[in-house]
Amino acid sequence: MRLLYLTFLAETNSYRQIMVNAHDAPFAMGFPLFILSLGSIFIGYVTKDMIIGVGTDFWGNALFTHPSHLTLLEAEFIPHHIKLVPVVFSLTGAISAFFLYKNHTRWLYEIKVHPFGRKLYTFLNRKWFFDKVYNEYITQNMLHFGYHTSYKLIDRGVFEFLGPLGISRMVTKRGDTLAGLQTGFLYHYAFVMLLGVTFLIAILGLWDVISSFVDGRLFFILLIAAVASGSFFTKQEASSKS
Amino acid sequence: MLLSNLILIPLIGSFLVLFIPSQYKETIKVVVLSFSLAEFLLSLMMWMSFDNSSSRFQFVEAYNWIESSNIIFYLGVDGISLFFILLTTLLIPICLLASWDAIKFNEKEYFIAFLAMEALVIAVFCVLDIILFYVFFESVLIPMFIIIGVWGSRERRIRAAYMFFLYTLLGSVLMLLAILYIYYQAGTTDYQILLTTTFDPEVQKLLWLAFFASFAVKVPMLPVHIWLPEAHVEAPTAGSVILAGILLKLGSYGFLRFSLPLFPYASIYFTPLIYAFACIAVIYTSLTAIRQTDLKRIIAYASVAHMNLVLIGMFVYNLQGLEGSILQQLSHGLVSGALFLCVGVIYDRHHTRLVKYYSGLAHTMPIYIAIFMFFSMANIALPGTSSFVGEFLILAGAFQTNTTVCVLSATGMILGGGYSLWLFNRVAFGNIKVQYMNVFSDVDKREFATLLPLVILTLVMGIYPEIFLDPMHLTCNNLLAHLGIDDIC
Repeated sequence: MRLLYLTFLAETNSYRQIMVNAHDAPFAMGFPLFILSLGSIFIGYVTKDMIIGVGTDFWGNALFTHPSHLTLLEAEFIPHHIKLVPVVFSLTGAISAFFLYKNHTRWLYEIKVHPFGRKLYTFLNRKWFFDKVYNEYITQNMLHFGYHTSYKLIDRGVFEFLGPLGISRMVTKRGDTLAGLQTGFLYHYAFVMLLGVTFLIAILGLWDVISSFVDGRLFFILLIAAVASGSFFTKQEASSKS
Repeated sequence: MLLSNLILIPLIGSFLVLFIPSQYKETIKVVVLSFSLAEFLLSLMMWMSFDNSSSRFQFVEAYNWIESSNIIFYLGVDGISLFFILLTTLLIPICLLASWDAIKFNEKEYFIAFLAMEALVIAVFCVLDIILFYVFFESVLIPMFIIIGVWGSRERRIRAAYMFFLYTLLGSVLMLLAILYIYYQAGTTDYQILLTTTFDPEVQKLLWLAFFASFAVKVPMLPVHIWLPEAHVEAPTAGSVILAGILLKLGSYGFLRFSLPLFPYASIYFTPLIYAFACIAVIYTSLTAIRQTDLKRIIAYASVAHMNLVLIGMFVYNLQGLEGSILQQLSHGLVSGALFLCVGVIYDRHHTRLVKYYSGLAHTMPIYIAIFMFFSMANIALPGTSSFVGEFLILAGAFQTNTTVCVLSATGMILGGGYSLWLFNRVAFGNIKVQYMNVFSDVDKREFATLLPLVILTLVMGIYPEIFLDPMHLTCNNLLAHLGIDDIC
């Protein structure tokens, strides 16, 4: 109604040149508009029973209504004055828009520039800040997760360190350490052999005692811990070198 | 003889090319292309003579391989494997056309590798003996390793090739152990005899996990997926197409062919595990895809999301989910393959894959952008394209079994809209960045010929999927009945 008033009834705001050349819609534009207006006025009367009538199976019941939500029957029996409520409200709106914009422009302007009025205007104009909530609380967080958490921290971080990068670094590092054990002295070799054989015999001989401490599941944890600590220490050494 | 011919034709082709001197490049290309097209025609004949009213293996052939160990080279096709073979034979000529000018050195070896890979992949899809399945499943790695490592785009390709190789090998070792156990338990590796064998529930769980390790790497599932973006980005265009279009399907085909029917108890026991990993992967990789800066990496992460959706469809145990997951695999083979081809088109012109250099291509490359838009829409499962049918069937199936899983995986579709539209918007619209690139030309005839069959097939599969679903019905029903699930319709 405000739109209708400002477009057709209020004082014009446009330039003289435009006002002089303004004209009504030509036939090619007016005729379709006429047909459309007929439709928009009468289509409700004509097809009401067909589409939302009681017990209609329009479109093969594509718009399914659960029986417990069936308010169509009640809709047929509401008092007449309740049915008039929408009409009354739209008429009131139309009339108040007409009078407010015709006689109380100053007052409307004061509401608009009043601090509370400005806040209300912004709130309504920005669609109740729904977009702001979406953007700042949902989308931003998801985009942040998509890059910093899931890509940088997990994909290129944890999975790389527990996977290819960590293992390849650890193998190089441990290989270097093991190569350092190679001294060439015969008595070193003999000592290591003696140590190994003693260890083996000890385990074999004491297996009855040891076996109660051994749990197959521990090996998996041991493996993970080895890889994790290996990649962690290699990383620290690399950073301390640089 | 049909299936052995299907395997032999590419092998003969690659053997013939061996004797053409490598300076006759055009001859090599024409010979290779005609062999792959003949192969495609033969596979179409297989589809025509396929009997939809039988759930048995068809075109069966058997040759003794190692007689003393009772290992038989057994070939056969049913409703599940039929379309994977067709997808392979369709994508290979397209890949050969796509690499017509893009490969600048060692063309002969490249084309030989491609034909050899075609033969091996077809063998994987139709062999009915698990030892030989393992052999072919592994040997596909060799040509792909060479293709990524030799004809990849930058130095990092070596690392990508090793990662691809080692990850796949890691899982497969466990599968080999499981296969050996099965062999010593059942005394045979013949798939059809193994279908009648029941394993002890506890043993089933271990065997299922061993097979899972291998197939999960190939699909790929969440903790072991990082080889995929790496390999996709470094491979040449045709290599990415084959990787996304066919090699990922080896994993999901393995689940369908071996994990589900051989270990029904363990499959149902581990279903929550699959749901959890797949749901996390769908959302996680979609979110990661949004923030990528490399065109191929975006499509690679999107592939991971789609393939995990396929797994959810496979493990909901009803007909919609199962057929939807097969159809979605075919659709993903077409759509993601085509998207990689699209990236290849602009990569051949400008030699960069970073999104930030591309903008406003709609002004200068209208045909290309129209095709790219079509496949972006197909990637987000727009109704009318093949992905819609697949994803809808999967979600409809998932809704009956587990509503939570259905809701979580449907989130992936929304996020899919996010990264596809964002990618398309950044490449197609905006200002032309003349400071980065100043030569523009639309797709030429060859590139158009590579993309057009995929456009048509995506539309056909989206508008009338029944021609693809019909041959699957009986086999899928049979599989569900074998799992002991009463959902025959």
